[in-house]
Amino acid sequence: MKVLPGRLIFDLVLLAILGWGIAQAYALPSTPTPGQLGAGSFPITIMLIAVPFMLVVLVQDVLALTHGVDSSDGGLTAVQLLGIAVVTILLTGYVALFERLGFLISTVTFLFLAMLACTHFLVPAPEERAWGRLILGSLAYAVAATAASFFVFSLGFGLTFP
Amino acid sequence: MSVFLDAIGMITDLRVILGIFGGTLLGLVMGALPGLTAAMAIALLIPLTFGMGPILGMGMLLGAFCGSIAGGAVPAILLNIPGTPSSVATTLDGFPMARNGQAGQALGISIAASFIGGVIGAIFLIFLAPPIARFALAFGPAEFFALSIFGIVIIASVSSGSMIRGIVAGLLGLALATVGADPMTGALRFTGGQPALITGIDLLPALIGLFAVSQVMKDIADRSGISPSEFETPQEITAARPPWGLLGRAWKIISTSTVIGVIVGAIPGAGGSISSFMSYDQARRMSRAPEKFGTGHYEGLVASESSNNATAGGALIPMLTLGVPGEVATAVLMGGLTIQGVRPGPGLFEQQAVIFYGILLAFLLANVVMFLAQLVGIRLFVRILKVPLHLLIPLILLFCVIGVYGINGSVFELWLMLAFGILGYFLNRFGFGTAPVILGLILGGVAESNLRRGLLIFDGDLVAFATRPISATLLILAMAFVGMITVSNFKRNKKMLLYEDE
Repeated sequence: MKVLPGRLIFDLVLLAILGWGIAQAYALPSTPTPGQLGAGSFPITIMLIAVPFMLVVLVQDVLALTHGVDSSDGGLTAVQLLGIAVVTILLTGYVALFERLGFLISTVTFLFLAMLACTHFLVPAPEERAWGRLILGSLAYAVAATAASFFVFSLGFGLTFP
Repeated sequence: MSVFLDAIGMITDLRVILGIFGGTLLGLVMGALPGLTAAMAIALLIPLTFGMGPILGMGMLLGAFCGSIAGGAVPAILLNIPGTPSSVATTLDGFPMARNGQAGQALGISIAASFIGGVIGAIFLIFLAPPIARFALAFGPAEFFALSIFGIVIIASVSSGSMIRGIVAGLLGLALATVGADPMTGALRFTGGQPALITGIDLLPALIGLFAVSQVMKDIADRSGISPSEFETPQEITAARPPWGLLGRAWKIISTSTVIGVIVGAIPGAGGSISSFMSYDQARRMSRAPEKFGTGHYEGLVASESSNNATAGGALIPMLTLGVPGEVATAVLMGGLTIQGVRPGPGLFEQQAVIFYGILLAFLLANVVMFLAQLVGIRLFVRILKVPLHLLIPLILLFCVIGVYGINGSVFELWLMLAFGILGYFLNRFGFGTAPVILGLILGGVAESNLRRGLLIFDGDLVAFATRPISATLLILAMAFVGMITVSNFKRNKKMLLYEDE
């Protein structure tokens, strides 16, 4: 079975969001004054204008796909996809644990893991890569960068961290 | 005159000078690193400028803006990789010069030409912006509404590969701007019961998500699995002294290129890449040795660098006076100014004249600082090219999180930033662009409130928006621009089909 290409999924998601937005905007209270706009009028107008444009985009993408001229979708390799996914997951975890673990612990953990992930994806190395040294280096980097940023931003700029 | 003197007083404050210096340094570093953009430099700086005075904050942002444009020349000359789109033309003669063993001279020419172009652009800005702003003072709700539509149409048409996709992105931004309490009735719209959304979507998480987080994702995707040996290592240079004699002989090229730069920059939609290629082409026509262009000829480098820095001054004219940014970096800069409480547009000149002139002078000063910083620190910027991306990316993400959290202490805004980052990545990937979204987000409120205010004034008559001379002109210009882009796209597609047939 052929998987639906990413750009078509994205187009459909945008269309679905527009549909949801229009439905929500219609539920907003209308204005009692004739000739004036209610709370939902402006967003409804914007989204109704966007729908035909979005449909044109969808048709363009379907046509491009059926004619085999779609170039951007074929560009992402499994490694690239994994790279984006890992960075997104790391950032999600960082945001989720930011207040629970506090700035120092969450940041050291995030930087350490992000450094390992970025090295893995951006520095393809021979198999004999010294993982022990890399882990130690990443840990040192994470601790140093966290400490430096904590002092600069909390003492220098007066920011309050959890 | 007293306003101008007050502005000079604000600019000559040591903190402001240091702020401009810091912003310029960051801009130079970001511009010098291929993959990191001027928009990203400005977006990352915005949280730091929060809470500073408007002139200090804006000085930093303007420094980053100038620095990133000039910094793009370093990898263009040494690696044949343009650091920013506006330095593509710089590679044509800059890189051959470096390969001929003249890397230091090429960098010296680039530094001096950038400085001259930037200063002349700033002078044009200082003289042209006030009369345009004075003219715009006559604007009422109809004109402001038309101006918002004009701005969104322009940026939607030019900032992405396809006009239709750009318009979808602009409309998406406008729709996002309606999130929160309705400005007239107070009814809550699309908040999903989230109290943090009652005041609307904050600009900062949107800016950082769309321009910094999404760029990091793009860099990861673009470079994953590519061997480091595929990137060249810059050669060492000991000094980069501007050859003033050589530059003096190229005065005609410099003056023509800067004028082209300012004019092209002031046209919304055109940008540094267009102006530098136009100037390069014009310089070749004017040169006594046109056959040397492309082989490492200094005149080509002078034309490209003086022009793309003059474009920066030109680009600020419509942004500051009308609130219409012509390209991505100025759209982000406008977002930064808005967060600072300074809304670019006709009102800025009327209500905050000292700040208005302060911005103009800060831009001039940023160019001077950029020149001095590059002269002194060029070896450092060359070394920066060697900093591996896998060390930078975690730090950039950390700064994104600190920047967004530091302003309001809200984890919800971090989630917003992440969501905008993912959205931005896909918007860029599928050709929609992110600049129209941010402009829609900035101008959405202006468009809606002026539309509704206008309808109150005109007794609900929508036609009045299209019959007032200025608003009618702006709406016609927007439509003409759409028509022009459509025709040019149609011609381009036809040409491509012909090539395919052949």
